[in-house]
Amino acid sequence: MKKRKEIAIYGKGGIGKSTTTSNISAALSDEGYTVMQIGCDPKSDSTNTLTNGKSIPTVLETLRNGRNVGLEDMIHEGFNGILCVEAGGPEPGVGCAGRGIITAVEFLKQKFVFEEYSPDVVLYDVLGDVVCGGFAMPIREGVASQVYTVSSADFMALYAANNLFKGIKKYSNNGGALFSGIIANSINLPIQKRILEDFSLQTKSTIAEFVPRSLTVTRSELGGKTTIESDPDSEQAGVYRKLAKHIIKNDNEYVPSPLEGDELKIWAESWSDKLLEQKETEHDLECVVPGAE
Amino acid sequence: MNNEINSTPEFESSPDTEYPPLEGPRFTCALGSAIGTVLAIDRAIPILHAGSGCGFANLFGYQYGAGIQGVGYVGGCATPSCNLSQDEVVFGGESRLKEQIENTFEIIDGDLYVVLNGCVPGLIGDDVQAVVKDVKSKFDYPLIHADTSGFKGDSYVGYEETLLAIVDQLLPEKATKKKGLVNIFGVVPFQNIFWKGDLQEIKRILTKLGLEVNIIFGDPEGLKTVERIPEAEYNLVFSPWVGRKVVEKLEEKYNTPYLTFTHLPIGGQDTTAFIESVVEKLDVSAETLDRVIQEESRDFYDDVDNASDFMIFAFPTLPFAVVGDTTYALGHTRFLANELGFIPSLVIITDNPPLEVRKTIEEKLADVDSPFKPKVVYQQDSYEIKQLVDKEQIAVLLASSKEKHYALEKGLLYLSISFPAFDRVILRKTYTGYKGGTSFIEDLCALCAGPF
Repeated sequence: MKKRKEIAIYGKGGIGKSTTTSNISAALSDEGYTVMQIGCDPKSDSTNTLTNGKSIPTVLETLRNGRNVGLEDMIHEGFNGILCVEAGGPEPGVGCAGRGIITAVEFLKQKFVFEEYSPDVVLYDVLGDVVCGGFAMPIREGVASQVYTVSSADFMALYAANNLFKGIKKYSNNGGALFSGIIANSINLPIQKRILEDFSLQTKSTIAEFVPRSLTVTRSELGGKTTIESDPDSEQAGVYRKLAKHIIKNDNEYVPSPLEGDELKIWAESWSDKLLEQKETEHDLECVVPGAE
Repeated sequence: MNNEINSTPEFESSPDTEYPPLEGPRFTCALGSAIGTVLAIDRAIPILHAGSGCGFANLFGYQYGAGIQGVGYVGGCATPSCNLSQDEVVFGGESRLKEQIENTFEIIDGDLYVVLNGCVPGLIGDDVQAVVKDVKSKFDYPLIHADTSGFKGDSYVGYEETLLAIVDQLLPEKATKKKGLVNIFGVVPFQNIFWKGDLQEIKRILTKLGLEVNIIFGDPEGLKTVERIPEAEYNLVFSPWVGRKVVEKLEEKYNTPYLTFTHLPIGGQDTTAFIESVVEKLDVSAETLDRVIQEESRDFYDDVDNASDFMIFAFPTLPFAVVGDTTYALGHTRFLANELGFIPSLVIITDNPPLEVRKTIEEKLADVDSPFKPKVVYQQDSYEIKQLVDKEQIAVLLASSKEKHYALEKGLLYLSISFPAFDRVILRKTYTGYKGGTSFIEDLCALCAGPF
């Protein structure tokens, strides 16, 4: 029996983790893999671009609405037969979203969903600030084995990535998931690339791929599709295919070294100084319009 | 025998901020104590916004631990509870609470409804206050809310939080004072296992002096006693620290002064001293005071006289240890040493009083009329308490039922006087006041009475 690859992809809200994850799922399904994508974010829109922009009923919502629910009520086939699942969660400002993720993931395991559907790859798309134990659920023992983080070169995104590293470090002693790479997103400027390269150096982590910000992605998403589906021959689709190939082959798993205490702030300040110097000497900071190809 | 007070506490954490890990704690959580506090007000209905099991755990662990005290009007199975489960944890429990309050109004006849939230809403952030406000706007019932998330603290916190919620949300902004009316605070229902009898004995004695005494808890007038709180001329607190926040709040809101007593007095000497200090502040004639002291002392010392034949024969001048809250530990130590001539060996104070009141406590214990002064230790851990008791050469142990088995194994005379007391049924029993002194002598003598 082939070994199932279970990967958690974390990222700060709005950083592009669902876009990236869905494109990886789509690219892997094109390669012939059976893929399951599980959205672990209470806003439940991880798999929207795999289902023509439509929202699917979530695990928690289905459980709440009826006792005699079947797996088919919460596992929905999307583009290329990708198995789409949304954990779901409470409305903003009430309840406990973290507990919701724990409940949903535990339910899927209890119901032997992975055995039943036997996907080759399971991708957990997780809100990445790791604010509480619930959001760390996918990296605990017995859930995902590899973790990636989607991050831009912005400080808050790196801050979230650093927090994720802390979570991985904590759970690594108890058989939790290990880290496999940073997916550098919205990288159009050399300076952004250099910031991320330096961050990975400081945290003893690796970079899986640099993904540029692209209008193709925006166009595809507005149409309720992934770039792989709506514009399969585009340059951006090529980037996602390359990333998907890397991920499926990459067995490098390790514990990163998060920056502790003030280290992250000091590191960020050092970059702030460099950016100010650069602004005076180069134009590349202002000549690229965000979103332009 | 150690003749000096050991003023170095075993740990010096403040009860407001730190809770060290404990073996066999002798208190419940804030929610448990709040339930007990509400149940102790006649026809007050606690509505638990808490996980399934919180109410029952506290019935078995707390109310039964206070001398197997029963459920009363709406305790135990009858207590309304949202019984929060995973669904509410994930999606929030506000709509469930609204439903539960409205259902309670419909089926449980009460005079005051108090929503008490447990840990779950405290963790997930349910806006309980907003739900209560919304329901209140639609129904004409007295309804208040106390945030008693279990993790907020122990029995003492739950008691204070409930009373503070009453003061803040139920009582009017202004009130007319009534001369001679006093409220009693600091006696935590169930945590003080003899709470009902204690309060009634204090009421009996002060009423005899001509004062009007509002004990609030265990009074059949229920809500009326609560509403009377602002009218008091004085608030009396029977603990150097428990209830302090409440009387301070009442002083701030109604300008009501308060008197603090370190402990509940037991027997002739301390009870007389207590009423003399009350009379210094309140208008009681010297004749009335003398008459009350004489009448009560006569009866009490008559009882002591009658018991002394047996006591001299059965247990003359024995060394003893007391384990309990400040209010009971001080009362019993002083009574046994001052009035019965026993030898105070060890006092273990289990309510973790704040550091600033410990000197006062120690002075009260150093002040015993005995050539031997007890060793004073502040300790809440049951294992450590056993170790401390084991080291002492004592013959009598007054403690909680946690200590009963090894006390009996050691051949000590043992009596449960503090929480938990799973080994006795307590209804209106009290060891407080003149009558409580007599009652205590009876129970002490019964430990080694015949048949011979």
